Amino acid sequence: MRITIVRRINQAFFLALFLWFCLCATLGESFWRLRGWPVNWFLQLDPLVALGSIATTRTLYAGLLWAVVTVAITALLGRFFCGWVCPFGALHHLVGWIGSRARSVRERIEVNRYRGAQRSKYYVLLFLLVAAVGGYFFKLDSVASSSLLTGFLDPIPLVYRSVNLLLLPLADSSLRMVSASQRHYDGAWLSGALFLGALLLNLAIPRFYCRFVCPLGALFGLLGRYALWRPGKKSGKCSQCGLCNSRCEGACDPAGAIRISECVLCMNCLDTCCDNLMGYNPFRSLCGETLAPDLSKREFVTTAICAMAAVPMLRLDGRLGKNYDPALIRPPGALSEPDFLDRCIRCGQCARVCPTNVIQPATIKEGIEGLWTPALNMRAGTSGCQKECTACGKLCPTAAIRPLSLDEKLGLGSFRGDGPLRIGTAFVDRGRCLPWAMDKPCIVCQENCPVSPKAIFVKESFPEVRDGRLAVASLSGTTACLSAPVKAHRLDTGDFFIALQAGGVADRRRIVSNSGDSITFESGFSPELRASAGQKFTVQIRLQAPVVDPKRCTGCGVCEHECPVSGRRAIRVSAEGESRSRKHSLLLRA
Amino acid sequence: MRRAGVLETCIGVFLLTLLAVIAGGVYWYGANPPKSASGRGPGVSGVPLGVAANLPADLAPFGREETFDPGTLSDKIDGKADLYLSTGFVELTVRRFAKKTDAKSWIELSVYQMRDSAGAFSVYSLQKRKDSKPLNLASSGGGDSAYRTADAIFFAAGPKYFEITSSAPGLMGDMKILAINLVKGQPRSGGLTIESFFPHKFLDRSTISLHMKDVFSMSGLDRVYTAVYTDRGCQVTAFISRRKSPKEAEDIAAAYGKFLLENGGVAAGEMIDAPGAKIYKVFDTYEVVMHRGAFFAGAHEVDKLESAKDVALRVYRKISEVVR
Amino acid sequence: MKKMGKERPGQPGMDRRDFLIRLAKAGATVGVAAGVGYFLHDPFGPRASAEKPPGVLPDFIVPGVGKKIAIATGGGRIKAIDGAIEALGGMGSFIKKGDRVLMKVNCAFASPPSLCATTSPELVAEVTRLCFRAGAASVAVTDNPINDPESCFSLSGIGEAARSSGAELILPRESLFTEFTAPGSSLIRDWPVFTGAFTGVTKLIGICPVKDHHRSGASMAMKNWYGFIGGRRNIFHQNIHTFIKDLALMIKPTLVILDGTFTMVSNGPTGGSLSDLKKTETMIASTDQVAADSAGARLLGKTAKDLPFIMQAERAGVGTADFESLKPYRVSIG
Repeated sequence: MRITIVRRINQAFFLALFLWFCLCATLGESFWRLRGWPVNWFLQLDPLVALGSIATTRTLYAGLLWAVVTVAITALLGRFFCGWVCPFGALHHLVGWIGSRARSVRERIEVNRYRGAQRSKYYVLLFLLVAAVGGYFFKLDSVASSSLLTGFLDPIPLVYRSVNLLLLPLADSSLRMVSASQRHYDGAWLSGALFLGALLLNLAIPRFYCRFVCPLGALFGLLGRYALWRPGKKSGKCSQCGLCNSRCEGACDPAGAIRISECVLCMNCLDTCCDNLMGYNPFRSLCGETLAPDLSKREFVTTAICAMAAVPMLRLDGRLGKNYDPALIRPPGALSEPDFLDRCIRCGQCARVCPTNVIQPATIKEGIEGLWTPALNMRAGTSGCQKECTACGKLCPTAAIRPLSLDEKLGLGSFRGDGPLRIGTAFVDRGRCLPWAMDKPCIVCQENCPVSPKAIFVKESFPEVRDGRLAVASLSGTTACLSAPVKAHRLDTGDFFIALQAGGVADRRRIVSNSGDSITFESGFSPELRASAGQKFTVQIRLQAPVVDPKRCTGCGVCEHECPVSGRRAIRVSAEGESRSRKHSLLLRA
Repeated sequence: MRRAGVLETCIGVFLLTLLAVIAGGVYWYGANPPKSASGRGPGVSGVPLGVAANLPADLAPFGREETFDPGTLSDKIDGKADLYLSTGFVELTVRRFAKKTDAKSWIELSVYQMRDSAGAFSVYSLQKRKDSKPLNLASSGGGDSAYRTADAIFFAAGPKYFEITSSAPGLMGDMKILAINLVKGQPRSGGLTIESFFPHKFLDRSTISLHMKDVFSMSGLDRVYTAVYTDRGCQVTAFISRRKSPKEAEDIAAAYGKFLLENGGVAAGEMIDAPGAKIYKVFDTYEVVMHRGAFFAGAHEVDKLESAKDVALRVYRKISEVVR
Repeated sequence: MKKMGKERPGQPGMDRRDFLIRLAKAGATVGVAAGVGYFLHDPFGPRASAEKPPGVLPDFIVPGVGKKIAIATGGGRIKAIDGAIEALGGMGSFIKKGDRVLMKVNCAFASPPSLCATTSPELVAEVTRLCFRAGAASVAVTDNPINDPESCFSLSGIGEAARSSGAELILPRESLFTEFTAPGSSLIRDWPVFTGAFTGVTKLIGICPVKDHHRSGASMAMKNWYGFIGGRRNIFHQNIHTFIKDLALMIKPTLVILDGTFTMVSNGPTGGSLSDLKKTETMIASTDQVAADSAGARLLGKTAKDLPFIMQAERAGVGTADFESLKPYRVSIG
């Protein structure tokens, strides 16, 4: 059994495993739901996730310890992850293979030759790592600090994000197997553009992303330079036919002085060599090796300086301070914004697992740093943040969203003193709210408020409806005969009242039914009132206008989701009062 | 096409074996979901109530089973939660059963798991409904710990307190069957129960209650049974509490006497027939405080001194029968 | 372009030495990764942002001086402050040679000195002079104003007064604030406090005008410490009396000076018109900030009982609201 066959089986296996994890990352009891599946495993194996979060937080969260295994194997064997495990790599490999099928051997040798530009990925890696540690070197108050930007280009978060938030909802839109209703993800096109763009580039140059962009590949390249076994020529008697380059995935120039840091261990050169010279040997290639990538000091320093400048530039907008975006509602358990950005790798697992689809990848509106980080959009999902759900924090691979117990989220048990966790506060827009602005009865938000006791209470009022004066010809018992007609049944919805005002006293009765020329109401008016002079009849409407009690509101957004003002909602959650930042508090805590 | 060598094949087989191991590991992990870190919150409980077998034939479960722990109890019974929480509440399980023929006729069974049977009896006794009728759940032995109202049954058995309520009339028969079956399944408390220390004459058995905490407003006074007697038209509340030792009973009697004196009571003599029993007058009522063996007992807030002394003496003698 | 990579010629045969070197290096890589993983592993993740333990600001009370108050009337600001300080035993009894003095002025608004919404610049200059004469090594003037700091210090005249009398200005910068929890305070918890202003300081003098204040009833010596608070501090207006009490508990000054030469009796704390001012010709200096505010309240036509924060501060043990019990030194300057 040739090793290349084994490699293909490996790639297929890990790609399938990855897709299985994507499929499973949703709540439920059945076998293909979340249960105990280690759906974060690929993220945890990714040493760039581990290294990035070590750089920003100096800790290695829970399962990220798996990265040590990957690093260890890479140090001993080389970039095995790229050629054998990486699901994104497998996709590149596949598309590149399709693109190369029509190519002649000569064309293949040309397209798979080493290019100097392949060093660019090391600068990508350098840029991301310096940005992650830059904060240690200079600090301009709160502006400059470190920022974990690896998630944008780190292939594992990228492929998770792309499959979970783009391919899966697209595939499911006609199948309807994964979720009961269509999942929507804000700004999915941008995620998709990067993903599809990266895949399509394989048609021009196979493994384009792996060779030129991938910061994780660069990291593996550096880690694997002392690998004990390395591909290379077992003998110096080479005919220099160059065929080994023809199927080389890493473009590592096995024909010449092989570039170990570029080699993804695809082992194709073992198959393509007509003299059977290539092997995976405990000694260096007998045609020589090129060990280190072609980095120049000047490029190195330029990149480092750019990275150091980038984070302060990104943060000069003051979003982390006074100029914070109140529309940015983070999931429950999200750390305070700077700590959150130190950890979030934009993998989209929280958005994937969220049962109501309320967690959305943030768009460019939240700045470059905010892009693809989780933000709640109460309109997009099927409801607001569910009271008894803590799935996002449980799944978050880096604890950018802390794993919460339900006790902590609801403020029960030992957390009773802290009260429920708040992600924001709902504000009624009195200019858009039906009862407040338009005298139309509606208490949908109050009814749907899941907090107990409710965080929304109502103020009752009985304003006179427009042109509410009633021309009553005669009044007998619970019926008023009208001299000017009204539209039949217009007033019998239960919300309308007939009010009788006379001699400074007023009283009202609920209207039970109305025909064109009479109105029937619940019970008769008192004889005194009926006897008084100067009677005035009007139609009033009972309104219950919602008011938010900021002490109770948790910002879950169910009210915003349910609000019948469907465009810009008349009750909206804003970040004020969120538990994760005392600076955003709205009320003093007693 | 190149042919693979033996070593290469061996490595390949090894790697594929490794894949199988990984697949096995992932499968094991997925098939054995970790126990939820917080096993709380109304949710589907894995532990069935064990009532399926006890269910009358024409009832079937519907809806999901809900469980509440001390943290969530107030979500279910807002105002009354404190009564349970101070009495050793462990878990509440709620399950509904509907008539197979008529889905609108259903009953709701609430099972309050308490720490011990005293706690279960306490919550049972302290919230007796006014218009209740005692119910004999026949084979239960402790048949006095059950009563019914027009549409519900309440009973305590073992460390559990049960409430069965109904949505419609005409379900009482089914509810009784269910109750009897449930009682059967509970451990019976053996030996002398505290009720047997209350003399039977003039006793209204349905009034026997167990107060768990801060009894008679005295902080620290716990686990006191009370029962109401009607003596010559005067209502007398007698109380008995079994302590760990005669010493403790004596200390508590002294402490309670002191508490009465501090709160407006005056000493009003002693009872000759019951050595150590003291009488206090607290405003317009009388209080008898005594101890006998490991028992702390007496009469509480009695209008007439004679009635108080009478009942107290009878309680004293009844206890003496046992202590001797 | 200099290439950093090196090309190595192939070596014939199996190089045992090279393999061992690589083994050592790869082993070291594995070791470092395992070590980093072991030491940095955090199985539980971050907790809810744990509150820092309460911090303590330095105590600037001069031991042995005790609670004293002097009330000087007439004679204008300079003579009045000189008289009041003299009555308390002279600046020398508070400031020793080498002391580094921090003067907390009220410079909340960018308004001219004539409106008395801010500490009088001539008073700042005179107290600075007194401090230097008593041997102070340095005097620093600070506040965290409500309006833009630069304009506040320049328009109020305090900046110029400080510079010309040799005091330095400490303007609020974000780096001078630290998240601080005051012991015993339910409000000042993990809140930015101007702790940087206290670096190296050995004596603290609070110096401010007597003003009406819409929310709290009066802005005087204790309310003046509001300027040591950063962040969106107006949230504390929801519970202002307790907050002022907490401030007074947190700050232990050497001396407070209440300038009642003019009292802002209406439209406080900004004022804006000379008609908001009343000539009251009183200068209060005290080592007891509660007593000082209690005496200052008189100038506003109020008593300590009208101002809940004074009574709360007294209950909290900050000082005494009954300033007469301290037997005030009364100085009348003709």
